[in-house]
Amino acid sequence: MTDPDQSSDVRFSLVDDATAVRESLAVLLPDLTFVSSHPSLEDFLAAAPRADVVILDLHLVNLRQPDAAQGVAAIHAAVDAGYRVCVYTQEERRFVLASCLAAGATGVVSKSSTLAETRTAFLAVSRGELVAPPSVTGLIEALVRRGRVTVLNKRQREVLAGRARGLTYAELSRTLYLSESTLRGYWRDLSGVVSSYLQDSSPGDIERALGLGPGDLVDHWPTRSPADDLD
Amino acid sequence: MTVMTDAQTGTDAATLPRAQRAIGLFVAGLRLATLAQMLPSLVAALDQGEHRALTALTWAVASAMALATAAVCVVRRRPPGTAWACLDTAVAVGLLFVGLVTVPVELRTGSWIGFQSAYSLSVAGSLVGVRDVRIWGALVGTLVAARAVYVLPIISTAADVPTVVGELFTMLGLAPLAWFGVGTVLRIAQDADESRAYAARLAREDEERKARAAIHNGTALMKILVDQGALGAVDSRTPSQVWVQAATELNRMRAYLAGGPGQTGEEPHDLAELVENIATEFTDLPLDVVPDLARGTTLGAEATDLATALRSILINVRQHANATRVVLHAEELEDTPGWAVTVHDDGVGFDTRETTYGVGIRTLTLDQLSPHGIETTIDSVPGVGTTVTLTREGDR
Repeated sequence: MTDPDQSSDVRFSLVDDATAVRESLAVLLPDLTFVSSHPSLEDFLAAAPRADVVILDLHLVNLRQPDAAQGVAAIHAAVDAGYRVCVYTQEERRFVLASCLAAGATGVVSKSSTLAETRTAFLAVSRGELVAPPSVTGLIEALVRRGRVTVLNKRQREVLAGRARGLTYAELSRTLYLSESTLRGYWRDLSGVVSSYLQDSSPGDIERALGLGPGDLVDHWPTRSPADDLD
Repeated sequence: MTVMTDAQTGTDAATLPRAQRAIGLFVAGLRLATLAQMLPSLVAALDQGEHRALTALTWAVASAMALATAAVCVVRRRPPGTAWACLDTAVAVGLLFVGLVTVPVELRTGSWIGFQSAYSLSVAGSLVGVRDVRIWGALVGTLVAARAVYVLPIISTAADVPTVVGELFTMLGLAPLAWFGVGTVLRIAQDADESRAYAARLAREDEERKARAAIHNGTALMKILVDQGALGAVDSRTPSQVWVQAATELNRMRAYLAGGPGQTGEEPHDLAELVENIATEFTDLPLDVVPDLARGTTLGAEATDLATALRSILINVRQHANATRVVLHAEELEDTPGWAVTVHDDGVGFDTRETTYGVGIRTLTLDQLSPHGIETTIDSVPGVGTTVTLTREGDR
């Protein structure tokens, strides 16, 4: 059986405006293959590296690149260019993180995560698994519970409930009497359904689904405006 | 507190001794009342018949026994016991037999000159202190038999039979009635005392629980501060949230010492709001709060104890888990009325079979939540993490 955490031949590219991060991440995660690193998404798209996953910082504007695309606009652009996106950020507001998934990102990983957690999360994204902190997974659980995401089977719902409570695959394996690889399979199937729902739903839909008031997500659920589109 | 004192000291406030004293006074009153009814007929009794001395003796013995029995009741503060009852019955039987000689047949019923019949009835009523049914039955049976011997000579025609039967049925009816009535009163008194003792025990345990609840979290916080103080850098290393929480717990302990409810404020009754509020007290933990499925879930009286338990659990995580991620998840149950709160950490974990729970888990969580119908389950694996689930099933 293949170890899901084996790096294999997955190619990563890093987009982060912090030089220290760009220079150090590949060193700190030596068994992952980083084919390039870029200070901006514009630079990344111009280089068009042969990468499977782009590790994308959420905030890319600074004094050196005040007009750089960032946030959900950058995610949209990277996804439109055919890349699988993993947001790597210090942002912790869960609605903002959920909006990244809605924009097409496959995962959101906190920069405060340990290196081991970060490595595992990057590899999970490379396999197409949705990666999100429990606070965001809890939102997804609420959407499922309220019938907005309806095609999940019982096992998928159990895996989702466990992940929303912070349980690892190892812990879930003990309680559900299923192998970790089986559980990962359920999660991968679930990821596709959830990603589709998030990408096809407007902030208003999400507000209604979560029982929030109209406009409650305006400041927390950024969307791409036409002006944000890259040339 | 009054209840506790009464039950613990066994003072007069206990119900059973008071019931026994009341029954003793009833017996004393019964005997003295009988004596009072007899006395007006004393002269007439002595004036008739040819056994004047023997008659006087029977009156003297009956009076002395009635007075002595009343005195025994007052002194003992309860009805006479088995030994005295046997003596009393023997005397009554003797008086009935002597009455065969001293009392003319026509005066043995319906007249206090022949006092023996009514006297034996008062003695039968005085046997209520004998609680062994076999002894009591034997004594009453003896009295009924002696009384039958005393009144049977009345029967000269068929018309006299109902009178005799009625005499005997009076004793056969009233004596058991008094005995069962007294038994019922004593059982009620005993039940009352047992209930009072039970309530006192519960009150004492509740007070102990409140004391533990009042000081546990504060003690845990003091330990954190002392441990960090030992490192010599309290001010710079201790998260400000710990100081804030320590101040809150200090207020809670002072409120308890002042006799207050031991709380510093009303907890929210919306489950989602409650867990979010508590999470703000633990910003030093890597805490993810997932309250979405609990919005609109209303808590009742359990809100305060639930909040205390969650604080205790999170303080345990802070003290012992060494976790890199903690998740506080709350939900309204999907398939049944009720709710659940889950606290999960990826810390060091422990072996639940070998671990003795401390006050935080045992008292503040298990004991305090179970009266609200909240079930606590703890799942932990060393090196993997710990999950504490609090579940309240069913409608409030």
